[in-house]
Amino acid sequence: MAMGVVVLQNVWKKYGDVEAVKNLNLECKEGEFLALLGPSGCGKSSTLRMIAGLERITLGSIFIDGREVNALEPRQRDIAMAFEAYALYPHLTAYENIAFPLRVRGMREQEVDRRVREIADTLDIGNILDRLPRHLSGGQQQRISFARAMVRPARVYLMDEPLSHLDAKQRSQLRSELKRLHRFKGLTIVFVTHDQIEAMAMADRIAVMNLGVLQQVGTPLEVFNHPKNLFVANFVGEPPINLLSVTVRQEGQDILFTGDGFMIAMRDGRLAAAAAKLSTSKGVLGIRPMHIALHRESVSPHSIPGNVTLYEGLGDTAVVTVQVGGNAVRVETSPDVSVSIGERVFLQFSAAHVHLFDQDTGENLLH
Amino acid sequence: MAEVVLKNVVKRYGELEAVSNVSFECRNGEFLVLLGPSGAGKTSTLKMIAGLEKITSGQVFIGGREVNGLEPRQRRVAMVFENYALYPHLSVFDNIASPLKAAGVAPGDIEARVKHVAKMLQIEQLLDRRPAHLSGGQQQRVSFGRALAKEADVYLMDEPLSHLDAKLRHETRGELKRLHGELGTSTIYVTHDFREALALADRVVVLDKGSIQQIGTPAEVYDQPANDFVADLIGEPPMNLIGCVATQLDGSLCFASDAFSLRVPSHAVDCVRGMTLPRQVRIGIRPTHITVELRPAGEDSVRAEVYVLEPLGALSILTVKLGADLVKIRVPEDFSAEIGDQVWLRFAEEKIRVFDAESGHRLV
Amino acid sequence: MNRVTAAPVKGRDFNSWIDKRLPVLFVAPVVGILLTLAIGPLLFIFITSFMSWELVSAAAPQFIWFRNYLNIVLDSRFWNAMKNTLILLVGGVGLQLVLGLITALLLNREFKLKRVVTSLFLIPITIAPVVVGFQWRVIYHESFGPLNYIIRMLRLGNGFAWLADTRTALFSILVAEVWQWTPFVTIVLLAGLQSISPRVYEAANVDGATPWQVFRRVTLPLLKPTIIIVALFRVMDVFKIFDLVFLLTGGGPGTASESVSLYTYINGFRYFSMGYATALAVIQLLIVTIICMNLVKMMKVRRA
Repeated sequence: MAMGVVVLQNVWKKYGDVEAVKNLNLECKEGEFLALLGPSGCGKSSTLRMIAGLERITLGSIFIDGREVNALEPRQRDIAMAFEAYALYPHLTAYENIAFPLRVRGMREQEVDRRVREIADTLDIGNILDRLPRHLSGGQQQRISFARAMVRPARVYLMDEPLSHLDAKQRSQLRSELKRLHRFKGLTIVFVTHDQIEAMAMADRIAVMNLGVLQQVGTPLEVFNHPKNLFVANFVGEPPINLLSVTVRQEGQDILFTGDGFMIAMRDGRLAAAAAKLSTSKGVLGIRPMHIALHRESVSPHSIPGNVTLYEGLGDTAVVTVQVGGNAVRVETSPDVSVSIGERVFLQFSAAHVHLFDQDTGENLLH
Repeated sequence: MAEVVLKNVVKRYGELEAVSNVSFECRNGEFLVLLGPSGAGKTSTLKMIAGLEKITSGQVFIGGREVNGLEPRQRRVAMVFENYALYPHLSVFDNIASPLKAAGVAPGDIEARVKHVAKMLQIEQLLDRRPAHLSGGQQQRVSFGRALAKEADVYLMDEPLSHLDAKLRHETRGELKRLHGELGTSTIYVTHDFREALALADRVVVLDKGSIQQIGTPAEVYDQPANDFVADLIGEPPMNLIGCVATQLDGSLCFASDAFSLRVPSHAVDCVRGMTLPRQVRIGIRPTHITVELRPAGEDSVRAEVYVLEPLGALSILTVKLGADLVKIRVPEDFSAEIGDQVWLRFAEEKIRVFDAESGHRLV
Repeated sequence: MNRVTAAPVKGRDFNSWIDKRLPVLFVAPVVGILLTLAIGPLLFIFITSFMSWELVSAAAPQFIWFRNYLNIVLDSRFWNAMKNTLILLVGGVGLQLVLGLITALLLNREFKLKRVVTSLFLIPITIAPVVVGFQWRVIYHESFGPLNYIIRMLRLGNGFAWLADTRTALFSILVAEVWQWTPFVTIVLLAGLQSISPRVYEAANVDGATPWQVFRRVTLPLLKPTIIIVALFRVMDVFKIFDLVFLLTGGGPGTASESVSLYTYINGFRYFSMGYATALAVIQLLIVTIICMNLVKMMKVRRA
């Protein structure tokens, strides 16, 4: 079996009694862009720092290019890293910061200059190269830190939230540049972020983590369309998925979902199989806001009635909150749809977009 | 309840002019959002209304009364801060009660008001906890509660959602809008996030470098941005601005560049006809108003090269290179293309806006 | 500010009066103290340095303009004292910086009992110079001192008359000076080291720098402002060195270990030549000021 460039085997990280990373098994393949996604404190940064060699591995092994690196210093691991807190050398200019990793390798000045100018060009920081870090904005410092990581060849590029301090426009710009750099140069990248949009937009695969435990690894669309459990479903997607507690009952070929204020029947083989896996008759129905259609009148017996409680226009789209019994259901619509607060509307969605989760384990039963 | 009026307000810090000659009005019961990037002067403006910053020149009126010389506590305003600014040694109840105690409200009334506010914000079960034992979202609710408990004519809010995670921000935003609907108190809300502005505001005041760029309803600032700054600030991705020349080719008016030539849409013809041609302009078009074809699609389609494709789940963002500009387009999630592929774009004609290349002002 | 509609409140006038004058009120006592205790005496010294004022003679003080300064330039004993002072300055401060940096780097690592060891380091600074002087006099004592005892025990010789030998007197003072003040340098440099973000070291390590490169390219340049500041303090201090010299050798044997300060003291309070002594003091003041200004300039260049 071909081994990935970075392989984590049963990796644990403990800080005293706190288990930050629990039994993590993960692989980043040659030329792959792997995103570690999760909320703060989920263990993603600890994982990256263990790969870099900045944190000791409590238990387990990390391999880079087939070689166990547990005992190696960061400089011996052939990695480059961009830090969230920039970690620039405060006494060096932006240029000297970027040149640092090249100079400590004894590269000729001419070659150093060529490379620094090249990366500065790509990242559009040519005009601030002679400034000291303290004269740069957070976003500029972050780009310098990013450039310092990208300027030299490395087996793996590790990035800890490298876009977090940029404004929205710069972030989307750098996002595209990074994705292109990765595609053109075939770089292997492990990227840590809490921003699901960043992960979706750039990564080949996403590893979703929570409370130190790996929840799911998959392509962006797999994670979005086939979330393995409630946590992933909830974390990925904006506005977040609607989750409705339901009682599930099979009636002939129909699966009957009854919740607070609604009841719908669906005829779908996958759903039937999933419903059969429920340990009790209770489950959680998941449906994304963009997969719900909003109607002014009842278009089918399967639509769910409710009252509009909130309308939020966002320019390109609008989010309508509809009260269905005790549930507030969010629906993403085109901004042209105009509804007024208190109006009665009908919600409709297809069985193909529905997820069914086990109430106790949180697992998606459609898998 | 009261309206707030700013007349020619200026704020200088030494040489630096943070707010230059700003005038606007927050009507009675209105939810007014000050939107702008950092350094736009929006927080300085809010602090001048609150009385936390001195006004260099100009006047601020609350409920028809000039408040320039008044202390914050005399202005009948309540403020919610970016960082929750709760007293760590006090319980939630005491935190919410603190402005009431300071105002000398009778203990019985304090209890009633705190309970009422807590119920409104759904934090009744948290009243005897300390802030350290609350989540970020709960802390922000308490901070809202402290502002709401006070009898105030105007609520001032400084990025109150910025420290919440995406999901909580989304929920609290909805909560806030509902609360404003119930209370109907004039609110001035500062944010750098256009989503918050569009979702919450009755009207939006767009600020940049201390000056007002546009005042309008969310629909106006989204659909009819006054200039390229506003166009660029609103939307994710924001409006595409494509440099070209308005000119006359073979008897018909068109927008042309090295990369494309586009017939001037009917709603812009009159305006373009009035210009001295050729003229440098930028056409603005939102990412939702462009469709992408993999083959040439009629004479009005424009050829471009795929720069990058980013899936976001329910949809993808396609970036294409059109001449010197990068153009972003919202495409369905099943759209697929490789970097370097040729595609053809079609602009929704009536959605095309035209900006002056130099001043940035919208012409059409 | 628009005051037209601001109601004239009685308390406000007093408040604004206070507001305007408060800074002056705060600064006034300090200015007063400075004037009476520093500026005044300084002016007095300047004036006397241009006078001949022998307390032992009956002659009244008289202006002799630059005669005192001219005499100093021609005074070989002054130049000898200057040489001694410079040796102490260069050797002493140099050694303190090198040793201080090494110990600071060691203390900056994580180890058991770090706090205890660091506090132990502070002891020499806390001891009064007089006590240090006596302590080293005991250590250097020709017959009973532990230093010579150890030399004899190791059969390295018979020991020295450390403080009474022209070859070792100055060196002995230097060692005592280094002993007392290296810990100060260590503590200041340690504070400087701790203000360097650990993230910067992480970045350097990831960037592939070897430990030596990290020291040369990251630690040392980041520590430079601190090194300059601590060097400034020590240079000013050592240039004025008096106590250790006075207590250990009294400048002897002969004038072999006499420092400029001690020579000034001897002129003033043993020969009672107030004019000559104050002229010496003014020269010292000028030299210290020049050193000081240069160092401050270096710090500013570094900042810019």
